[in-house]
Amino acid sequence: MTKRKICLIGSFSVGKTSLTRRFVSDEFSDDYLTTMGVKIERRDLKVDGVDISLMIWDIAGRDEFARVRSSYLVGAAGYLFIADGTRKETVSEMLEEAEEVREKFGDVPAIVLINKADLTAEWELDDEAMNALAERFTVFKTSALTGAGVEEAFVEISRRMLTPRVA
Amino acid sequence: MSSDASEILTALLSGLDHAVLRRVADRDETGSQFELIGMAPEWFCQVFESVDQARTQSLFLGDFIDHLASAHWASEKGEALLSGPWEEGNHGYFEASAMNLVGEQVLMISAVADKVEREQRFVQSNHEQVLDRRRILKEIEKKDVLLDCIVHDLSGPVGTLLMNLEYVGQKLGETSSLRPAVDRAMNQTQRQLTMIRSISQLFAGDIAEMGSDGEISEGVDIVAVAHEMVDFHRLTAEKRQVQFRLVRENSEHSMKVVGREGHLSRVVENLLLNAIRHTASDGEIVVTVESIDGGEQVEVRIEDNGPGVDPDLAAELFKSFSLGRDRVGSSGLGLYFCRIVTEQCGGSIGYRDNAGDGLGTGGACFWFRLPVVGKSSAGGRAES
Repeated sequence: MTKRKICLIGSFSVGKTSLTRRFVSDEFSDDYLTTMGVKIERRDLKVDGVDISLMIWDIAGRDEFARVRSSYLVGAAGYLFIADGTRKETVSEMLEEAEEVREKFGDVPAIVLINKADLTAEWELDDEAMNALAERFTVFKTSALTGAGVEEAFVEISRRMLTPRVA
Repeated sequence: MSSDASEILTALLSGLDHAVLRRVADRDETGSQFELIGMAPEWFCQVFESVDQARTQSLFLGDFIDHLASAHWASEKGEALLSGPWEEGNHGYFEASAMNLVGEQVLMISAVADKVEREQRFVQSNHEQVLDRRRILKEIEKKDVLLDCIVHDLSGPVGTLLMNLEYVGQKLGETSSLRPAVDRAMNQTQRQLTMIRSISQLFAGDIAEMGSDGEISEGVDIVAVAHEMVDFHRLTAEKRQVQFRLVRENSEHSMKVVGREGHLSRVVENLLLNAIRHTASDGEIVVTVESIDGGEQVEVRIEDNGPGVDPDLAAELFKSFSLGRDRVGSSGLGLYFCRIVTEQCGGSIGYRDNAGDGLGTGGACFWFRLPVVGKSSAGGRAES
């Protein structure tokens, strides 16, 4: 079984914990509880015929644990950068973090999840913003509430982590 | 490590509520890579079955040892390497530190649930406040858009109606029997427009702009504001044969007050128009700007010699939709607006019967006070 470490990165309350819970135990809770430090969940799955064990690192927003945060990221094979479609500022915060991660750890497989797709009426991201993101990342619209796009996003990042990178 | 050093280390660490593990460079005969120094705390035995289990059972601890601690031990650095807190299943929060201590590679694990949960309550509350504030601002934004639409839809037809009534009025001539009816219609239509404008001012941009986080600029020259408003409405007053007088008192002190010029202009204007409306022909309105409280505040008084305010109504004057004597000429929001503005600036507003002030002939005296932001040495008393 191949093991891979994935880190979920994004501002507070974008839905990192909810996405993890949806993917690992197919559950959702509307209660918001700030993640402190990090919590690791594991799920085994088969991707393109390969058994893979995902260690999913659900990491607190960067403001809370700036001192030790980058140590949580060491050894990650992939990143899910997450923003909340109903709060446009979380996209710019996510992009800042993506840039910091790239500077520190180089080009590691990463995809972007714009969460809360079930609240599209309240979205603050228009097509132009989504297209601009799509030029730089593979973007998934996800909903931890309904589960839409969640499995697909984790499978996609797994696939990328399994693909040997050309030096 | 010598047995002495080992004993010292054990003695040092055994009193602490930490699990302290010594790294065995190569696995010992039992295949273990760590061994406990001293006794394991009770919580450690509840969470982990054994020292070796700790590493394999905890996804975080295994990762920390493999990726960070091993390199830290190998570097032989003196300071401790902190892992940061992690949540271990349902067992709460823990934190690990790797350190090189008296020749030993040591891993110390601490239960930090109390500390982290305290921080969590604080952080959570902070996040919720940010989200709540954001929600409120979005609601205000939506309301403003809705209000703009309503105001636009209401004021357009009323404006057209007023324009046509004015046209009809011009064509009728002064002696037409229809003239009183047209005048009444024009008055009511004008009142409707005033009402729409007041609602717009109060509930759309102005109040949001005056919100608690909005900045109130400092240093408005209240004498200049009063002067400008008196000049601006002098003609209106003269049409009703009412005279204006502007008085400055104690002007050796600064008259620069806290507030926004636009808002304060409307406060003075609202009070002046009220006074004009309620002052009989040949009456007089006195606007006094006076430095009070040793230069700490400025009081502005608008006094007229009209009929004054019914004592039953006086207490309600500054509430929203409060209409004064005869319920004529206003929306009931003008004085409410004045109160909101003055209070936002840290000032106050009020009414008293005009018994013995500027006019001393009865009538109404509306006053407001605002804090001064600076001092000047100009002196004397001026009348305008």
